[in-house]
Order: sequence, then C-alpha cells, then structure tokens
Amino acid sequence: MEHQPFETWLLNDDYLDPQQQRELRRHTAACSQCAGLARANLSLRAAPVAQPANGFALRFQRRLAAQRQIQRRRTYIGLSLLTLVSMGLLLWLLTPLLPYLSLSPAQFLMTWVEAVVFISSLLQAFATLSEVFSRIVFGLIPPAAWLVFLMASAGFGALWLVSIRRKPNHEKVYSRARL
Amino acid sequence: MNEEKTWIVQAQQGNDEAFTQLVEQYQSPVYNLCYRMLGEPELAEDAAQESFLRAYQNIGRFDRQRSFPTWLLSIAAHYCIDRLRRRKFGLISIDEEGDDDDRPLEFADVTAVNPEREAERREEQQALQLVLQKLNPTDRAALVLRYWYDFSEIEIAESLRLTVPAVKSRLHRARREVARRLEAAAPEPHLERMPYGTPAL
Repeated sequence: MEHQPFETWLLNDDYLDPQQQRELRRHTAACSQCAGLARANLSLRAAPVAQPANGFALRFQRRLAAQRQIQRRRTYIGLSLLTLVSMGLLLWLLTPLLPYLSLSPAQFLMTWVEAVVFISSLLQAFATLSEVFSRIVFGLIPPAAWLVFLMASAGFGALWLVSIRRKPNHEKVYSRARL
Repeated sequence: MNEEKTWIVQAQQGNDEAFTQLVEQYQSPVYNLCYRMLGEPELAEDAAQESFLRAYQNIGRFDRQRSFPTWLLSIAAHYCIDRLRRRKFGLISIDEEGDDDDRPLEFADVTAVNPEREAERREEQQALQLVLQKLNPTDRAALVLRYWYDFSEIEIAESLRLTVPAVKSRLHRARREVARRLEAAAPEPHLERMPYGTPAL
C-alpha cells in the first residue's frame, strides 16, 4: 500500500479497524513522517485534563459580586449625570419664562390672553390660506391628472410593499449558503 | 442531564445558585480549554472566570435546544482567541497578563508510579504545551476541542464560526505542525486516557 492513504488516516485521525491498525503499524515502522504524525496524535490523546485550583466556584461568586458592584456604581453615576443634565436642560428651557414671574396676576393674565389671541388668529390665517390654495390647485389640475397621480401612487406603494416582503427571503438564502 | 437542564432554566430565571452549580460542573473543561489555549495557569484561571462571567451575562439568550457545554466552550474559545490576538498586537499590559514565572502546571495525578516516570511525563506534557503555544490561535482551539472534548468537525465549525472544510484544513495543518515540532525529541507517550475517550466532559 502507498504512503498517501496512511497519511490521510493519520491527518483525519480516523477510527481504524484492527486490520487497518496492523497495516498502519507496519507502515509507520518504515515511514518516519507517518510515525511522527502517529506520535503526535497519541501525545494529544494522552495529554491529561488541566484542573483549576480548589475553590474555583467560590472565586467566581466573588468575581460576580465585584462585577455587580461595579455595575451598580456605573448605573448610579449614569443616573446622577442624567438627572443633572435633565435639570440643566429644564432650567435652560424655562429661562425665557422667568420674567413672567415678576408680573402682577392681572398683567400675567393679559399676556396669556394676548398670546392665545395671537395663536388663534395665526391658525385662522393659515386655514384661509390653505383653503384658497386648494381651490386654485383643484381648479387648475384636471380630474384625469388626479386619477393618474393616484394610480401611480398606488403602484409605487404596491412595489414598495413587495420589495419589503422579498427582503427576508434573500437573507435566508444567504445564511443557508454560508452554512 | 435533566439536573443540568433544570439548572439552566433556573439560571435563566436569575437563580445564582443554579448558575454556580453549572460552574462547579464545567469548571474543569473550561479551565482546561483556557490553559491549553493560553499556556499559563494564572491566565487560564482568569480566562475561565471571565468566560463564566460572559456566560452568566448571556445565559438568557442561550437556546436550550443547543448543547450547553458546546455553547460554554465556544464562549471560552472565542475569549481566548481574542485575548491571544490582543496579546499579539500588544494591547494587553504586562500587569494584566499576570506573573510570568513559568511555573509548571500541577495536573491531577492518580497514576503516578515513580518519580522518574512522573518527571518524564511532565516533560512530555510541557513539550506538548510548548508546541501548542506555537500554533495559530484558531488552529489551536480546533485541535483542543477535537482532542480534549472529542468535538466533531461540525461541532468545532459551529463553536468557532468556521466552515467544516476550513476546520478540516486547520486540523490537518495543526496535526502536521505538532508532529513536525514533536518529532525531534518525542519519547513514546504514556497513554493515560482511553485513545478515543472524552474525559474532559
């Protein structure tokens, strides 16, 4: 028998039947390369299992406790920082309102009424503008164009939905190919 | 095995006592893997502890359909590979690496016959350990998982996130390398374990 099958057995570390073992022994007696491989396999199989020092689990518990303490400290520091930043931000946001605190109740009420009136008139103006604009637009664009626009939108929407549904399938094929 | 599943379920529910049982159960395999990967007892202890800590932090995500030791050893192997890479690129300080005193590891010895044989056996083991340290970290992890834990090529591939042909190729390369380095001075090894046994688990 040639050298190659023996080397393959040894490199694969195959399970050999008694006949194959006898043949391998005969071959390794004559082939130093295969003898070296056989010795390496035997050395690896003969190596004992290293044991940790006594009390490993206890040391783990201590380490876990220390880790938790660090975690708690980090959480505490993080929360404190978040609170400080939030308070600072709140103060900064409230700064423009501080002058109102010096007003009398009547002045304060008047200021608020003025603000409400201003906002409502602004909204009213916006509503009037939108109404005028929509009238002009609907008058200019023919109904057929609206129909085309709506159909195109529906088509694009459908395409978008299909592309979303197909994406996970691609991922599955990819992961299978990788395995 | 049922007991182990119970511990896993309890640990996933936040029971520290159950996780400690798992630590007790798997301390030797995890420590042995770390020792074979890193080569020094202090580093192995630290890496094994860190691996268990990572397992503890991620136990909630463990899929109970999978084998727990495979998952755990995969965490330890990745941690060690990462550590060896960081060491290679000088990202770990000397302090972090622990004392470099070349102290030989004490193996649990139940078969010591005489001091001469014991010394010879230790020499063999140290030679093998030195050879292992010369291998590429991923090749080393594949070899350790194959010989100490009897992992199949598929299991090694899953644990190390490699393809099966890549595992095969790495094992071939690692075996050749070990043989080449041991060839010069290797005495006939004294077989302590069954040739195809899996004592680590």
